[in-house]
Formats: sequence, structure tokens, C-alpha cells
Amino acid sequence: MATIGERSACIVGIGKSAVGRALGRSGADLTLEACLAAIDDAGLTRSDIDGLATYPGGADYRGGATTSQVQDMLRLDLSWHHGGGEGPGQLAAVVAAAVAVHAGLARHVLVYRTVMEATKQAGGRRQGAELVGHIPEARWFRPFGSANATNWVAMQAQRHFHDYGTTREQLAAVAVNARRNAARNPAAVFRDPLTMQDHLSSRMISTPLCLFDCDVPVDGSTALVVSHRSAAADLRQPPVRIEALGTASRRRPSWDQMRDLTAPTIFDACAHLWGRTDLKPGDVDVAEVYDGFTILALLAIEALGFCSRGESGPFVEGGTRIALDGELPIGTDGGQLSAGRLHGYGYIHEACLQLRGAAGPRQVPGAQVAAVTNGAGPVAGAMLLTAGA
Amino acid sequence: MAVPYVVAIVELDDQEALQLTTNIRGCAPDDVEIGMPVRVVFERHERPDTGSVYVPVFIPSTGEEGRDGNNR
Repeated sequence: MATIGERSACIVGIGKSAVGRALGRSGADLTLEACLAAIDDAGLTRSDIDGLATYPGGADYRGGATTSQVQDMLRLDLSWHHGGGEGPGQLAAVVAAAVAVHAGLARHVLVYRTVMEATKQAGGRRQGAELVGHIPEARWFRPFGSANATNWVAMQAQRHFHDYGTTREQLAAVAVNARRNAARNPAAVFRDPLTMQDHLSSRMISTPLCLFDCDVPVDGSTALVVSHRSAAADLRQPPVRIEALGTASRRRPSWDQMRDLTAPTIFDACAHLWGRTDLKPGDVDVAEVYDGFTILALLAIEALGFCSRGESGPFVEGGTRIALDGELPIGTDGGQLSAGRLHGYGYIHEACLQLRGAAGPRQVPGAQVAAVTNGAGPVAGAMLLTAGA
Repeated sequence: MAVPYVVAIVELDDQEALQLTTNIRGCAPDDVEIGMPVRVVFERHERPDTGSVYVPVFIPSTGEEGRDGNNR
């Protein structure tokens, strides 16, 4: 097996800001809250932090904070820093941090992701022109009313329904499960019970995706401290090991040029991931799969190999298998569907809590291995985390 | 754009793997099926800045225009 350099890296601290729909706070303010929480959680001080990474940085049309802002606010003395939106999904910043740690460019890297999606959308909805800047091919979609990811992902769902007989009720099982878990997470945005009937009767957004198939835009920030293993042992929290990363992209990375809508890039990332570890899908105790839309969770379950292609609908049906006490708990904190769209970073935060055994009333007993996926369209990434140094 | 409308990815007979995001017109949304053959029509739009713009949309094919139209 090739060098698995990411095993040099551990997640030693996690932090999250207030998360909400109308907080009235700036992206910099929320970022600072999350970053200070993560540094404190690790038992470190600002002077220990010598690396800084974010996704996607100053290019983000959703607002947030640049690495320069964060460096300046925290008065960081950095030997390495990075921000960028192009890479293996939202996971790009974590991958960059792990690489930097392995290369010896930094020992303690602060990684953060801040979203101001609720504020942005409240201020006149997300602007199409901004989206085109982020996803250039979107200029060819707009004349046809294919305005955003809901429309694009809806076509993936339609194809999955057509090819495999997947149903709206099966998608709903993911959302109902997420809401049930969110009731055990005081920080989740939506905590009221959601029934199958509530889900199915919610308004259609882009067929077959209804309102509750879509995650909830929020303002909020998540931060992690990624440290070299040699610097992780004596810190405040038990380290969470990065067992393997999946970063591959081997098919056309375009929303409408991908040849198989139900097998997007996440399949490359997950195959790559399993090629970098001796662990198997059956070893995974918790799967924090990207649920920006319910269908994306199904695709990630297939891509990770928990079931065969096309079988994710029956896999999640009824919700038993994916529940906290099921064989493959997913969305344990409510996911993005109910806890809020922290854009991939909520999953990492939650996976770390689960592996520390610190997830409180939603703890999956004895969780030792967690899978995290980010994205499921043209760009995607995957990560396998384990408990202990 | 008035709802409901149908967004689709259409693969062209002329070149395998050349796919277009477009709309399906000329039938009820519920009558659109994945795999149905379609053919292009060009919708003319008038814009004050650029004049006439022709937008390619697709309608159900009668089956004679091309083989195996493919709406993915």
C-alpha cells in the first residue's frame, strides 16, 4: 500500500458557533466564536496555532471570513495557510491541513468553514450571477430555469427513481430520521417532530424533491484543529485519527455533462478512500453522509459500499437501519436537513463527538469508526475517522 | 418562468455524450419520460440589448426525425 500520509494527522479540537436562521451577527464574529471554541477544546492557545485553512475562503459568494481576517483577528503567527474552493468538495480544507501537517509545514492547523446562507438568502435570495462565478457551467442552465442545485440534484433523483424504483417515501425516511436525531441535539435548527406525512405533503420544490428533501440554510461557523499525531497525545481531548481520505475525481466534473447522474464523483472519492485503509464498510459505526438533499445521502450510502448501486432506497426505507440504534446510524446530529447547512463541517464536528463518546443523548454506543462524505455532485470528498491515537 | 416547467438533460443523436441542459415543451410535464425521443426547436426571444436570441428547447419527437432520442 502506498504511503498513507494523512495518518500523521489527528483532529484534536472542535468548535461551533451559534447556528441559526436570523442571528444578526457577522461572518467574522461567528468565525471567531467557532475558532476560539476549537482552540480551547483542544487545550491549546492561539500561540500554538501555526497553520490556518478554510474552504472556500474569500471567493465565497455566501460570505464568511478570509484567512487574512482570521489570522489578524486571532493575531496568529503562521508557518502555513491556505484557503480555496476547488478541491474534493468542502473537505478540501481538511485535506490541505492534513497534507500540511504530514509535510511538516505546520503542527497545529486551525480549519474553519463559515456560512452566511440564511442572511444571504433573506437579502433577496442567492444571486444567480454569484453562482455562475462559482460554477461556470451554470450560465448554460439559467435560460432554462435550472437555477440552482435543487434543480440539478432533482434530475439525479429522477434518474434514480427511473432506474431503480426509488420512491419519495424512501427519500423521506432520511429526513424523518434526521429530524428524530435533531430532537436530541439542542443546537439543531429544526427540532419539532417531522412525520412521513408532513414530509410528503410539504410543497414541491423541484420534482421529486419537496421542501423537506432540502437542507436548511443557516448562518454559522464550524472550526477544527488538525494536528500532527506527535503533537496530539497530551492534549485536552482524546485525538480523532484520520484513517484515510478519499479525494479522487475521475469522471466529468460537471452538473450536466456527467454521464451517469446516479454515479457522481463521490463514487470515485469513496473508492479512493477504501483503497487507503484495511478497514471495510462493515467496520463503520457511524456514517455522517452529506444530506444537503436526501437523495445525496442515498448516493453516498451506495458510494461508500453499504449497499449495492440502486439499493439505497430499500436500505433506508422505514428508517430502522439508519436510526441511532440501527446498523448504520446516519445524520446523528440531525444532519444538514435539520441541524443546518454548515456545508460539510457539521458532519466532521459530529463524527468527532461520536468518536470521543461525547455525543450525549444521541451517542452511538462504542463508536470507533466514522465515515464522513462531503458533496455528491461534480465534486466530492470522503474521510474515514477513528477513535484514539 | 411560469411553473410548472420541465428541466431536462438531452443527449444529442449527432454526438454521443454531448448533453444539453434544456426544457421539454409541447407536452404535459407528467408525460415527459426519461429516454423519450425529442427534437429541437428554437425559441425566439427578443432582448433590448442584443436583439433576437434563439434558445434551443426540445419537444416530443414523432419518431421519424432521428433514432433513439435520449433524454437523460
